[in-house]
Amino acid sequence: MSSDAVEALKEEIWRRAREKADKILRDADEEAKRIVEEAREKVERELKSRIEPERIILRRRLLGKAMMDGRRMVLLAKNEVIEKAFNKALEKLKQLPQTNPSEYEKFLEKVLRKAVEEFSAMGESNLIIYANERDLGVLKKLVDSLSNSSVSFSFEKADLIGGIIVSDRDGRVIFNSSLEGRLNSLRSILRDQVASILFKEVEAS
Amino acid sequence: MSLTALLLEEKKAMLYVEEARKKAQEKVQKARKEAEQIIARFDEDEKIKEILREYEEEVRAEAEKIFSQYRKRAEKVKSIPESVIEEASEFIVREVLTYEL
Repeated sequence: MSSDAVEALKEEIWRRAREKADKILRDADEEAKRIVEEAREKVERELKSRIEPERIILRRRLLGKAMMDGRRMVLLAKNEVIEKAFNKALEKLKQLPQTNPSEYEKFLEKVLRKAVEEFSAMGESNLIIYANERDLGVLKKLVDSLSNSSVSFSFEKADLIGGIIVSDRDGRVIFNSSLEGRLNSLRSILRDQVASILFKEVEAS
Repeated sequence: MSLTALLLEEKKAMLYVEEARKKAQEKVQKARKEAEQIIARFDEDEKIKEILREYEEEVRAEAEKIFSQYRKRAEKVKSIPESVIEEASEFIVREVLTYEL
């Protein structure tokens, strides 16, 4: 065997050895990387499985509270404005006999007729009409104009802003058509409609 | 003579590969230790508290945004013009006078 051939064989032996050694080290690097990576992933997984439910609870609690507090704040603001509208209405009702006497008188006549009709239907013929001092005179005249002569009336002064309260002699049945009584009775009935007048633009935006 | 030299070279090469194998085992061994340390170092409770603290700050900021939207809405409600309140009060007066109770 020539010395060139021997050298060539030696080189081939070393080429193969280096190739093999490099592969062994490359594989080891990859394996080492994988082992460390898996450990990190395991830690992350365990962390996530413990944290996720707590995150959900925390999120629900904090956002839920913000929404609840916010809604309550808007509701209180709305109530305040609605109350303002009702108070303003009460002031207008107090002034009505002066600002629109004819309309007020029509109202008195209407509620008086209604009260008389209802009491007559129950067979009551002796009625007491409660009203403020200002309205008693008007009411006495209105009573005279009622065609139902079978009913007798007596009048009592009451601390009302307007309208009438009618009762039978014993005070067992009461027909409350005072302005403040009607306003209070209608408060809950009108609330939604009043709100829709007040907040139509807020709701639209 | 040349054959002996070749056999010797072959043996050296095998030792070389063997050396690489040892190094490889050491690397894997080192990685295993590192992995064990990663798992052992991981103080679960403390880490969870820390992550939740960070998350809470994030959610609080989100909650504040939501609340401030409601605040704006409430301010808008409170600043409803007098003319609209007037309109509503007129409606109430009309109903008080005409509603069939």
